[in-house]
Amino acid sequence: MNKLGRGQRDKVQQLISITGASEKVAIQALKSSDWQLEGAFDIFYSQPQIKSFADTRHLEELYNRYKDPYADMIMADGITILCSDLQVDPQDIVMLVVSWHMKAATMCEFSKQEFVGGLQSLGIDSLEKLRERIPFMRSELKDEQKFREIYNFAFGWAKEKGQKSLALDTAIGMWQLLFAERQWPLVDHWCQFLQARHNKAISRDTWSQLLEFARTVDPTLSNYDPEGAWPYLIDEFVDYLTENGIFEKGKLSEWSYKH
Amino acid sequence: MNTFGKQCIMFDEGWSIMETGISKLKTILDGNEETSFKSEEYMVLYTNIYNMCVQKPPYEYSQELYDKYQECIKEYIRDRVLPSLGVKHNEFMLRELVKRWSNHKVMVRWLSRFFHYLDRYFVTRRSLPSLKEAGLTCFRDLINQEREGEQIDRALLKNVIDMFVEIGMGSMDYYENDFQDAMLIDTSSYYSRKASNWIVKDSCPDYMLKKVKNELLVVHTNQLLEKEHSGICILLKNDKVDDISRMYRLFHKISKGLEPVANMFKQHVSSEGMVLVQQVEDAVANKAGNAAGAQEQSFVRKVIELHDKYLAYVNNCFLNDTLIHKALKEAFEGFCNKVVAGSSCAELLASYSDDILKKGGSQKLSDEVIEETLEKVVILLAYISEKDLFAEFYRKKLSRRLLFDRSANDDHERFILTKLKQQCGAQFTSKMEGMITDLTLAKENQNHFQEYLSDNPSANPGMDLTVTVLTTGFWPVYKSSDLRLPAEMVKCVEVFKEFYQTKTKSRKLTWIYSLGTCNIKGNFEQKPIELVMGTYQAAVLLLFNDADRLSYSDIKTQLNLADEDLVRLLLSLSCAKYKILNKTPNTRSVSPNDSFEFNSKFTDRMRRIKIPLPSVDEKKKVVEDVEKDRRYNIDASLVRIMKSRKVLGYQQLVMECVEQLSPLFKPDIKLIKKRIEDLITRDYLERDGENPNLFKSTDLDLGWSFMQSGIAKLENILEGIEETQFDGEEYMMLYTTMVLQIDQEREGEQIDRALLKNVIDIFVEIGMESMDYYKNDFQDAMLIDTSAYYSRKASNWIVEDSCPDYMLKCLRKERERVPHYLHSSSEKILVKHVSSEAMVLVQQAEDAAYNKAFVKKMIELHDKYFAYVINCFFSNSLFHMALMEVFEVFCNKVVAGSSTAELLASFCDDMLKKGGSEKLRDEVIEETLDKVIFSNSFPFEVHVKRVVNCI
Repeated sequence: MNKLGRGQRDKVQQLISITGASEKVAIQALKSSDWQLEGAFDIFYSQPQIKSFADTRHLEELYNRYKDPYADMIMADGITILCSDLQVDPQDIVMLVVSWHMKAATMCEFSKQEFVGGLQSLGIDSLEKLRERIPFMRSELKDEQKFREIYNFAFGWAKEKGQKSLALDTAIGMWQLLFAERQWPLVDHWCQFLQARHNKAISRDTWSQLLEFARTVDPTLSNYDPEGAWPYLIDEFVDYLTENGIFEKGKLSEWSYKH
Repeated sequence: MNTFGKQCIMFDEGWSIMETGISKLKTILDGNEETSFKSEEYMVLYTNIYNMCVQKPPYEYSQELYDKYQECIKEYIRDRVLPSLGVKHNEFMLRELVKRWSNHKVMVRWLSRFFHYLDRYFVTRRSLPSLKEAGLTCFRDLINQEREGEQIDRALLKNVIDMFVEIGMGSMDYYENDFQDAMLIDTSSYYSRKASNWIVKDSCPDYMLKKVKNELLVVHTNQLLEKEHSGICILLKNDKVDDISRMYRLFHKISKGLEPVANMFKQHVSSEGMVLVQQVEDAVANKAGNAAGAQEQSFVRKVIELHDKYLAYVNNCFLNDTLIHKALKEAFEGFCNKVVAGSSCAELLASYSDDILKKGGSQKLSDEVIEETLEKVVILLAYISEKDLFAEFYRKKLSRRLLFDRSANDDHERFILTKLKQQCGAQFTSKMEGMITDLTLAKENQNHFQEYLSDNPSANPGMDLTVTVLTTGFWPVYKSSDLRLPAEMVKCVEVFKEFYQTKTKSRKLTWIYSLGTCNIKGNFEQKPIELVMGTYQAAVLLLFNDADRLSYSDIKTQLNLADEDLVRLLLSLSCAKYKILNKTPNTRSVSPNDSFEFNSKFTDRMRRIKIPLPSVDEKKKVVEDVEKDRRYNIDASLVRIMKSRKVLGYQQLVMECVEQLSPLFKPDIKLIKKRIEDLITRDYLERDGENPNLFKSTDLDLGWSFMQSGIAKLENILEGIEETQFDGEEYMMLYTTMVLQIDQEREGEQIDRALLKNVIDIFVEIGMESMDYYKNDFQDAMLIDTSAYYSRKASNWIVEDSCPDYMLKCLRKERERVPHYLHSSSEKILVKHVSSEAMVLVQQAEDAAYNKAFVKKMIELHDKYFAYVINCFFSNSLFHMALMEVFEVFCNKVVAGSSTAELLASFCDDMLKKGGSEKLRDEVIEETLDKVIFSNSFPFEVHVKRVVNCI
């Protein structure tokens, strides 16, 4: 820091205060951007290896805290500890958001790369910072675009490795969790329908189209187009609703709304 | 005028003046007097009327005059018009009437003038019908009277109304303004009033005869048809051919008049068809069991009869009208796709044709009748959407006929296949044809086998053995179970295998015992009897050579059979008509605790008996197979569409898919949807991120790797390493990817030609020397695809390049492609195909270029491309050939009615004669003529000579 001029030092401080990067990283980013603050931001955010420079040590310590004794990754037990450290229920949907940020491949597992890299990209190098970030992450679910990304991420995250589709029980669990965030009055009917009529795994297409369906088709189905490209299962679902008299003349009964 | 006239004009007095005027008018009208009214005369008459009208009551005679006026006209009609009409008939009467009508109009006009004041003054005040109108009304009333006059013959009536139209032509104004509307309203209300009476009195056709074909028919069409619902049906039912024809002639003249008729026709035919369906349903419900088969047979026969009958109507009565044709088609499609007593019509048709074709079918028919009936079956097939189901059932039945030697006549078998091929395309029958060829080959093979045995006596297994070697792909899939054969039979199998090895190395035999037949001799106590039975049954019986008594489980383990099969076998041997085995306990069913022993006491009055084995119901399996095939077909079609379109909306994708598959079957939309989703999971397609209604094709390197694994598998099968055959899905996808690859290459993408060539080589190899496989499975489909591809591309290319360019391009590319990966036998066909596509374009060019301009352009074209060939292609002979071929094709076309030769000749003529249309320097002329000869050297020698002489 001493070798730097005054102006440069100010920029370093600015960069640190905004990004939360370490001094070393900040200097490096500024140097490679020819001391342009904006350029340094770009570099900082686009080149994770720069950031990784300093805080990996902290993060690795953190990782080792949760790491499974028999494998080089965080397994279910580690996650339970992490959750209690964060004062979050392991069933809490916010853990999905955390996993989404970490680009976790599979539910209840973090590889070292996912954990360390994920936290780095979030600019987090300590447990406290992660804990502080939780409310923000919860709020991200309210953002329609982000919710969609998280929803679609959930499919790959929740399914068994090597499988192309998502086991029905898991899918239903995920739906109930996700649609608790984003109200969809038909979610219970949907799950009942699947158990009664389908009882098979759910394909990615059906998964992602269901959100579209919930988003665009109103719960009275007044704008549902039977000729549309909705997945087969969703068409069946609509038939099921009509058959079972859940709709009368296109209206959802009071009871369904309460749910 | 003398308004203060000394005396009033009395009515009679005034009228007598009028009468003189009127009688003069009448004579003029009759054509007797040439002089027309002079103005003085006219004035007198007018004044007279005026005076009579303005006199003070009671001398005001307006009303009287008005009445008198009407009376006068009526009188005239009664006295002059009617008698003159009465004596004449038909056309003459018509002419007379026309004449009278025009006279009438003149008269009314004149009279109206005379009575003009009356009209202006009195009529408006009383709001009575104007005089003109009144006059016309009289005429109308008269006709009404005629109508009422029941004596008047109907032909007259018809003519009367016809006449009105004709009158209308002469003087439309009057007709339209004054008469038509009133007449129409009047007439139609009259007819409405009368219609019911007449319907009671006359039969419908009579009624129609009377009816006038124009407006009346339009107004009443629906009423007539609806009211007369039963009437038309009765016509159809009672074969009133004349009446139906008449109806057609009447209705087809009015616009949209045929539509209701077609609808009625359709309804009628449908309901007749549904009656047949219902009959079978009822019969089956009542009788149940074996009678059902006969019922179904008779159903098909009746449907054929029905079709014959109505097709005859369509052809004869309706003059093959397209609308009626369509109605017939729709009606048949309607009930032919119903499920009849649990079977689809496709199945019924297949079994009906089986019944005709097999030995000892229920009908004894002469050869011609058989062929005729078969042809009709094929025609009916056109109405059935599930053609693939028919094909599968037919194949199943055909295989039974062929394998169990039940086919009555080989010619008939081939006949129906030819018919099917004509109607449904080569692919439809390729497998069936393969089956028949297989059988011929198998017979040859058997002869070779016999020779082999006589050459190698040591190999002889000690019993007669006939083996039918079939090609897997052609025949229905039969279960090959791991039956443990008795030693005697094992030896047979080994001997044949050895023989077969000498013939070919790369083929693997799969034995299907379930299709075998055995003749074995049973040494019963009373007398030996020859037993004819299936291989499985024989295998069971042979076990009893070594043991007196066997339990169910013994048999099961020794033969390695599944329970369901074994129960069936044992039932046929111990509980059916012939009890070769004794079962303990002696019940009518087989259970796993039973035991069996040989019934040495068995005897029969025959020396040779056949022990039938009840066949399992294959229907379900056939239907399942077909459904599976449909899935592959839909997959392949979807992939193909998406590959060429890249991005496509859902609706359109479904539509194109349905269209592509419609010659084979009508795919269920839901099924298509499911297949689309399945393809998405298998990464062939993906949904657009933004618009969920849009699908995109993924880049198919995946297909490529699939192909490689396919080839590996093929090779394994050929080597005999792998046991399994290709299943439908693999085959379909392999084929599709291959075509896609070729498509891609046409698009200019680099593909591995060697790999493609490999695949095709293998296709050829599988099909052995005969090449049947290659031809049937690949080449046809390939050609269809090729032409589809070119028609798709054509429009683009036309824009980009000129037409010959296009043709050169196609020919060149395809020719280049052929040696690379197609088998050489395809080359000619492919080139022919491409040329034919190109010909369409020549056709277009032909419209634009004509006569001289055409010749000139041709020369220019030739110059241009000849230069290309020389300069760019280094005079490569292949390109020379291509150029020549293109121009040959070109020049052999008749352009705008003249052969190109003719055009050339006249072109030369124009060039050489004095004052031709072009002024050219000598060198240019010579050069041009040179080119004419050159470009023409191959096709038209005669003409060239002529040109040379000219020079």
